[in-house]
Amino acid sequence: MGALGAAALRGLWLVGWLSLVVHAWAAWSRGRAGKRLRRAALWAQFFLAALACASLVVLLVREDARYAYVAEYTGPGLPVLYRIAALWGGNAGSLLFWTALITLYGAVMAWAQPRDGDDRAFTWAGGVLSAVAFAFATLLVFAANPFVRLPGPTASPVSASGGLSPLLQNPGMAVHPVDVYLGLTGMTVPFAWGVAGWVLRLPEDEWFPVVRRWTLVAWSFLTIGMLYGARWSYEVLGWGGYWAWDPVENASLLPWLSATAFLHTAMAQERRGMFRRWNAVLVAVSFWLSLFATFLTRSGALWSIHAFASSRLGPWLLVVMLVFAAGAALAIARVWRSLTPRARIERVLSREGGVWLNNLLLLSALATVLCGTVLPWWSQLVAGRSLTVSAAFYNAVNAPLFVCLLLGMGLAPWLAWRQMKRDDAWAWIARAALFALVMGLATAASLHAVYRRSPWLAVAALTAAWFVIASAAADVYRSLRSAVSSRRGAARADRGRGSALALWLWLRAHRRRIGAYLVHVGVAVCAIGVAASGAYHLEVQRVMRPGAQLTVGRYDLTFTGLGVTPGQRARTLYANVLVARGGRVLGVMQPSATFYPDGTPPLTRVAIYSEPWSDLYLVLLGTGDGGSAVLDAHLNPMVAWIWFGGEVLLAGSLLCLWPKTLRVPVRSPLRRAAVAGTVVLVILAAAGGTAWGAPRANTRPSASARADMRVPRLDVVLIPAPVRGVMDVVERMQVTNRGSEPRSIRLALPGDSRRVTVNPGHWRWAGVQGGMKWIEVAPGVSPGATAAETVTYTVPYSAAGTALSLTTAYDADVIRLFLPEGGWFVSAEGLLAATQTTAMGGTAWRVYTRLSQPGGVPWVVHVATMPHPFFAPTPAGLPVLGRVAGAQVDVWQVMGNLGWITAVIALAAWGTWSSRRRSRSSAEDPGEHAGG
Amino acid sequence: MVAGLSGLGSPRVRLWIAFGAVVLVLCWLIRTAVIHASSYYLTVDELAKKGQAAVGKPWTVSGTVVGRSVRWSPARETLVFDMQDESGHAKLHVVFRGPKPDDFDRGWPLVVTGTLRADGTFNAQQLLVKCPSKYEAKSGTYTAVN
Repeated sequence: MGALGAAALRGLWLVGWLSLVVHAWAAWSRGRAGKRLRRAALWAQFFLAALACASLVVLLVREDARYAYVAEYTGPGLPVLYRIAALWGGNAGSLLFWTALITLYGAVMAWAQPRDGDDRAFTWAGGVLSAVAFAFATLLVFAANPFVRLPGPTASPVSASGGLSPLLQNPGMAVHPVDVYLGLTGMTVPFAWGVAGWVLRLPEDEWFPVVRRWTLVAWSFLTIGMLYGARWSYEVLGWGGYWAWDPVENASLLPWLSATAFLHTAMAQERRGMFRRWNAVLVAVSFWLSLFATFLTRSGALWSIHAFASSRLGPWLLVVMLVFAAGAALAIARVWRSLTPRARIERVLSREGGVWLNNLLLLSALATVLCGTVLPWWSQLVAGRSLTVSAAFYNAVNAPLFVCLLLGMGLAPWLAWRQMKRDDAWAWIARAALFALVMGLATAASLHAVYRRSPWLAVAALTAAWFVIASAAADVYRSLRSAVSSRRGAARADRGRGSALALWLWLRAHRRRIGAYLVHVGVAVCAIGVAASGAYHLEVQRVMRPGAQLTVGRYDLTFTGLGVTPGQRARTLYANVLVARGGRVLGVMQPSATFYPDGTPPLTRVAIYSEPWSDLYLVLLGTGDGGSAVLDAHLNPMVAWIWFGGEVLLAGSLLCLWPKTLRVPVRSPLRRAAVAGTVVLVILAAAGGTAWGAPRANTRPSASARADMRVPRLDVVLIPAPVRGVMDVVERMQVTNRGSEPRSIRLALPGDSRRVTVNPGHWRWAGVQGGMKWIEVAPGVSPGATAAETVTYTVPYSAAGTALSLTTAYDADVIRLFLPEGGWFVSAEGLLAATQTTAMGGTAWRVYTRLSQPGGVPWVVHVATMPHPFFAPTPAGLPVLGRVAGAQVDVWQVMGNLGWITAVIALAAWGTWSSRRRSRSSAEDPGEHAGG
Repeated sequence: MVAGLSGLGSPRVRLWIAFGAVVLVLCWLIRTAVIHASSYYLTVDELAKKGQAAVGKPWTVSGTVVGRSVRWSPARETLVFDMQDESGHAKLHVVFRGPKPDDFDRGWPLVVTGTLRADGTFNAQQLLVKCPSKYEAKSGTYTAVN
């Protein structure tokens, strides 16, 4: 299978060459030659890239550890979904996936090209697509081949976390990289058609709609990709919330900003022939920025939380970037003079003026983000010292820009070409503004009531966002009212059907406008979420003993005890936190930590209870004595609005992509079935997307169950009955003497410990102090040597757990503690470095840690050994609230995302096909063309 | 509003005025933000070489965690550790108040932003850990069997 993949990769490179030659030949003969051959070359490239991907996936799923890539990114016990996701989990694999996506776009373009007639434009577009795919195939074959075999047969590591880092084993891994890659590679398509248009100086309506449509495709993939990434980052502790202005995040934001700018000016070019030079620049810049993003991610040139490899790809990618930048510059320079605007801006308050201002603001944001991202290089070059900016820089500059953008978006519905829309536009703007002011202030006031602050910029952003929503709604209302009333007159015979038909006709006629409004409203809803969660926030950390209470905003939290989920691969320690609001119990939240037996550090799993007005975000930071937990509770307002806004935005972009004619472009039943399948996938996408956007993981108790759950049940349900017993504690210590002479270990045993046995002659009683029995163990080890000592004692335990203190004067490397069956390592106050638990012959658990303390200063270590009955199970009868991050793979989300991807690409291809047919027939009939 | 602007000539002039205004405001915003939110980016070794001159100023320092030195006190929510860079000449003692990121103790690279105190301790306000093995697996995770 690996040989097949490697062969497919080499084939891809060869076919890439052939494709370039065929396209060049066809361009030479003005598009008449090799029509079938060109199409076949594009299809073959996709086929070979897909074959290589499939081979790698098979290797990953089968865990064929003879291949370096497989050995690095998989391990036993890794779920199948993450094995597949490991395709884009590593450098070489993700580059292969990237190349496959470019060839996918090539194949789709070949499909969307009508088979008859003149296709000079496609000669160049296909040529550019082939060239980009060929460039990446070259990198794959010569610099980052995923099919490299290891020198000898290998044994895969026994890794409980399964090779792929546990942090990456998150549902986000199955969707976020795919969408971002689709977005970044998708910028190639508009660029390819742009080059074709510029080089051949074709009439604009032959190629420009394709550029606009496919920019929209790439743009919507980038948007959803960034949102998925934001959500993933939000659910993982320590990744800085949903957006950290990390260089790689910025790298995907940059082409998104330029593409957004282009989508607005493209409208002005289509309708009024304006911004023609500017649009050419934006198309090229968006493509170039997507290459720049690849460079940033893979060159190791900048530091990022997305762990760039300092791989060999950097110089290669730089060459690719320079070649395409030079090519684009030449192509644009060739047509620069002919790209004169056909109209000028007549009034500032017109759609043209609005688009102009929109571009100014977006490009300002782009410049800011770009400056901040490359500042470390630039300052090194200019001043010789590397200067970085923090997230505060980006926020300070971008926040005012985005408030202005929102205000502009609010005005947008009232701007027509050349002038303001109607006579009564100002009256409507005043109404919308008044509504926005009321809603903005109300939102700010309700936030102030909980969070006790009112930053003016956040209040301005909230008001501006409400203005966008109010304006769009008002214009839709006006437009719909007039459409329905005029139609109703015509179909007076059947009023109900008349209205429905009118609505349908109206939606069809205005789909792009309604789509754009939906996108604007989605952005505004996201903005509300970002402004609220960015400016208002509550955070409390507390060490809580069982039964302790904590109030966060309107929520009352009661910690009732720790619990353990047993497992072969990993065990999860969770805290039961009872959540109540207004005296009513809502349920239990279980923030947790997963421990792996192989030494992989424990992974914290955040519990999030999401409601429209706030997210309750609980983190189990650690545990303390007596079964206490260190909890970190956050109240993040309105975060769910960001995800919901994303859904609205997606619906809007789908509507914008809906082709003008709904004619199915095929006659054969098989192809019609394919179209029907696409429709089903669209529905799946909608369903999956809704499932993703909705806070569905919040299992809400039924109304009757809620009535049952008035507070008094607390004591009954949650505190487990005390369990008493006796256990043997066996501590085996391996102590390395790193000092100059042997010293003794002071070991504190629980005050009620009995039957102490240690190697005779190696220990003596040191007395009783602070409720502990102290012994001194002196193994008599010479410097540099290691001694093993076994201390056994019996202690009674109770529900309060058993704590063990250990003081060592040694510079000890490893201390191993053998705990009784079912014992659980809980607390590590002062116990540091690696902590591991390992099954030992099915009878005991081993916990050990590395200690290092220069200068012989004693450490005090508390280890609680807690048998199972100590832990409180999930309280019966209460629902578990909130999503626990990364706990399970969400099949709906993956299916929904796949459906959505298919829907977007299919709609865009369909639209391209029909528009290309139209433009071809209109080109054949100049009269119709002039009339259009 | 429209009447007020009509004295300023053609729409082109007005748009260029708007352009100038936005660019000026942007430059001012960037300047203020850079002054408040920027810090010099150094390795541990470079910071050590600065000696007393570095005390009291904001820095962004990159390096790797010295795995054994990590001390995490959940009750006080304080993370204390040493970091060093590839050269390994100097160590920086860092104190960070905040949650301990997962996967912290493997000696993976991180970046801290904060100020250096006179006693040589680095007070970190922000701590960023690389997300592990996104593009490169850690070396030595697989072993050859003869």
